[in-house]
Amino acid sequence: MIANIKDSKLEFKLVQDVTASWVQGKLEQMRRMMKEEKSYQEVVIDMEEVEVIDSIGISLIIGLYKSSCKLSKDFKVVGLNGRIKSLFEMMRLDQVFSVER
Amino acid sequence: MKLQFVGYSCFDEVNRIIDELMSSIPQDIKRKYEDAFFCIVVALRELLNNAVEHGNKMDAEKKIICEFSLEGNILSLVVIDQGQGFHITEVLDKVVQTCHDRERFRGISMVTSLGFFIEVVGNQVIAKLDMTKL
Repeated sequence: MIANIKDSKLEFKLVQDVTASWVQGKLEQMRRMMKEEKSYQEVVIDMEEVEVIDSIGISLIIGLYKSSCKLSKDFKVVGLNGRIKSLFEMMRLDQVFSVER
Repeated sequence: MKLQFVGYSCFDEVNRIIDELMSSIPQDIKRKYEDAFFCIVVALRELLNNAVEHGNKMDAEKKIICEFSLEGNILSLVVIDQGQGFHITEVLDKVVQTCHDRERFRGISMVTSLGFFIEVVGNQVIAKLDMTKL
């Protein structure tokens, strides 16, 4: 996972499978970064290199969305491949936050 | 075609079982159902995760068994753990009561949303899919 701030966006670039074996501990780590950094208005989760996700990975994404809301930051997920985007739509997550290919 | 895999109750083992399963499936079947296999792997991962987390309570000493079979156009995934079993209606009822941004209770609903019919018999979860309906 790579985190950086650019153009008022705190971007988390996920570069591995977002599944149960990877997710443990990551939510708290990412939430800490979101609280510590001040110079951003939007959280962007870049999933361009993600080919595999499970419901625990989706829980991570939702957890980050909820944290963004609490911090009054905008939130979006970008870079989804067609299959994972369809999965997000099937679960109606596109009705909760912005989801882009 | 019928395949069986056994592993211990941890998420790394879930990854290993899925990798072994995908390596064991003949190429002609993978080609024939290429798009379907994304959904199948998603569903299987959910069932195995549930077995690890909810069935075996993350006890790495306990085992999970995964059976994959394809008879005609009917795919069956059977996941067996060493837990007490559960009533699927209780899980699905929780899903109905919660909203789209819930953080938990997604696994079984994901599997059913992908088109699988799920039956729970004791500590076995049986998920069947008619591949022609994908």
